[in-house]
Amino acid sequence: MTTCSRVLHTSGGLTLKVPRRVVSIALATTLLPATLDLAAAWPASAEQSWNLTSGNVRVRCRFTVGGSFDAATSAISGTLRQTGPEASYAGTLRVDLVPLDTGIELRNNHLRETYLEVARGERFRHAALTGIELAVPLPPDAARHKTPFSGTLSLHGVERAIAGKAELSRRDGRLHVQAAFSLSLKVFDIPPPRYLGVGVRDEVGILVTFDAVSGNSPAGGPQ
Amino acid sequence: MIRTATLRRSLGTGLAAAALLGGWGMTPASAEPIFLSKQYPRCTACHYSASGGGLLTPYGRSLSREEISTFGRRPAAGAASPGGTRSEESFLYGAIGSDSPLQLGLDLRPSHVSVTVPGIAIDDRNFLMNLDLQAAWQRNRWTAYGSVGRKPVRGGEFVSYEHWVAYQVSDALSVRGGRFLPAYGVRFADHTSFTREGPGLAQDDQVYGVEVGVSLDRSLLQMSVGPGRADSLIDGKGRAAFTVSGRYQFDLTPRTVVAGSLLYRGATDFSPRSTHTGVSFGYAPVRWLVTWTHADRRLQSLARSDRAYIVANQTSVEAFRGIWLRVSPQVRWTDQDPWGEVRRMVYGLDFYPRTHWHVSLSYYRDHFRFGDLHTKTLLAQLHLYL
Repeated sequence: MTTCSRVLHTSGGLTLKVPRRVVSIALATTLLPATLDLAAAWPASAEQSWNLTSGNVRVRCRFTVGGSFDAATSAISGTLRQTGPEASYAGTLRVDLVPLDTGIELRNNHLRETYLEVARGERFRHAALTGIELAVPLPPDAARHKTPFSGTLSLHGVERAIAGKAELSRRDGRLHVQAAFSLSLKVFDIPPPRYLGVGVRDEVGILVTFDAVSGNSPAGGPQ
Repeated sequence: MIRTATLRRSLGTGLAAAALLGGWGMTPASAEPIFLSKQYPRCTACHYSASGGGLLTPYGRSLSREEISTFGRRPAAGAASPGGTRSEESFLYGAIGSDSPLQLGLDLRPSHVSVTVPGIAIDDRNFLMNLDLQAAWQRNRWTAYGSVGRKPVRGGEFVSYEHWVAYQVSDALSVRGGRFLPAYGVRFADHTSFTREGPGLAQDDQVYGVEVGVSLDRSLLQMSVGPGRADSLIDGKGRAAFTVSGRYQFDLTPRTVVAGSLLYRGATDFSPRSTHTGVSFGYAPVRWLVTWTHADRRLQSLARSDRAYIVANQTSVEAFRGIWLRVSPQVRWTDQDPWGEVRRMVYGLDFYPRTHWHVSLSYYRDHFRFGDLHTKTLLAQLHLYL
């Protein structure tokens, strides 16, 4: 009898012996619909793709004398393809660094020409985020979802792994994403910004916000 | 009833005239809280003094040229060369390079003031509001700072508004001692602003003391303690009061700042102890607009009332590069004391045609509620900062 039954422990310390057959039927009836749902959401032959419609990137730079300033741009574009339920995304988020605006021209010029060196070529003019993986996949029916994420950032001609936190929310059929991470300028071979005694600290914070529409949806944006 | 009204009016007129004539003899500071709109929430990016005003750092001089002046900006290629040392923005147009540990500045303000008070004839005045030489010497973690000049009143006698030594203990912690203006509220450039005159923080109200500053990424704490107002300590007439100040600023964003301030002064032979508390809020939604608001409450044991209040706002708009329009409504009142209520509206124009050339026009309209008196003041200044 013992081999044909499972022992279930309840939270109150009560122990129940349930026939294995009953357990199997229960598990099957519980998990089968979920499995079918998942299969419908992630058919082996289809990919879930997201096209960015709008967004912005805000780089928080901390002064060595205290306080901080933001460099911001809305020149972000890209398409992400969710290749399976494991929450990894193919595709690239690309940011044009030339329009980065710090609020004053002097700082803009220094940022573009002296530190980001955007004139050196495509790998310097754009920052690109690839290989994005969410630590916890976005549940199909979740309106809002917070999760750590990781990816590979190409900046200033250097590729490095980055990690941060993301918040995803569904709104009117669109996906709204806000992701934050920090990086070291030194790691990306960017010289320490310093001008007439005032500098920027090595660690800068990045906040990426964008809206995306499903590439498969009727209201989809650019494919 | 008519006699009472006339008396009130006469008293109000005298009060207004005394206040206005006394105020315009002083020297304005040169802090620029409008720079919050350019994402500079701290004074120390551009000024040697942690509480703002006075000599500009080489960085501040550079911004004065590249970001304030209408016609001073260099072509982009020139602006991008931090190694440039001798140029227009430097002392006397390049007499000392920006990389020198010794930096000097010469501050001149020829001014014209016209005051209109009903019932009193007041001559217009042309005078030299400032003639100050400022110097800072910076080496490693040490900064020594001082200014020498002449007072615009009392026969133009010698004055050193500020002289102090500061030591940067770490990236976050600094200490300074000497004569300086304690950090409190918002240091509007206009020293006659109610928020500066009210707490006794006008141009010659520096204290002798020690100040500790803790500057973090998003917050700034400044605390000072000292035996009191420097001029009062020097004249030895019993007016000096033990003074403690504290100011905590938190940067909500690089363009949004909130600050709380405290200023305590002990009793003197002439006045009871007083405590000022203030809340300040600065917000710059876009790069050409900035607004600062400060609310202040004073507690002091006085016969009429122990509470006085000040609320002031200054909103500045950069209409064109180097041309700022400013409007500043202000009000101050004292509980149960009709003499104390004054409402002010200030309209101003600041034009920075070239590096360190600053033309300032300010029109003040004061309403002394006691006596229903309206006064008008026009102040025109040419500010040369060499």
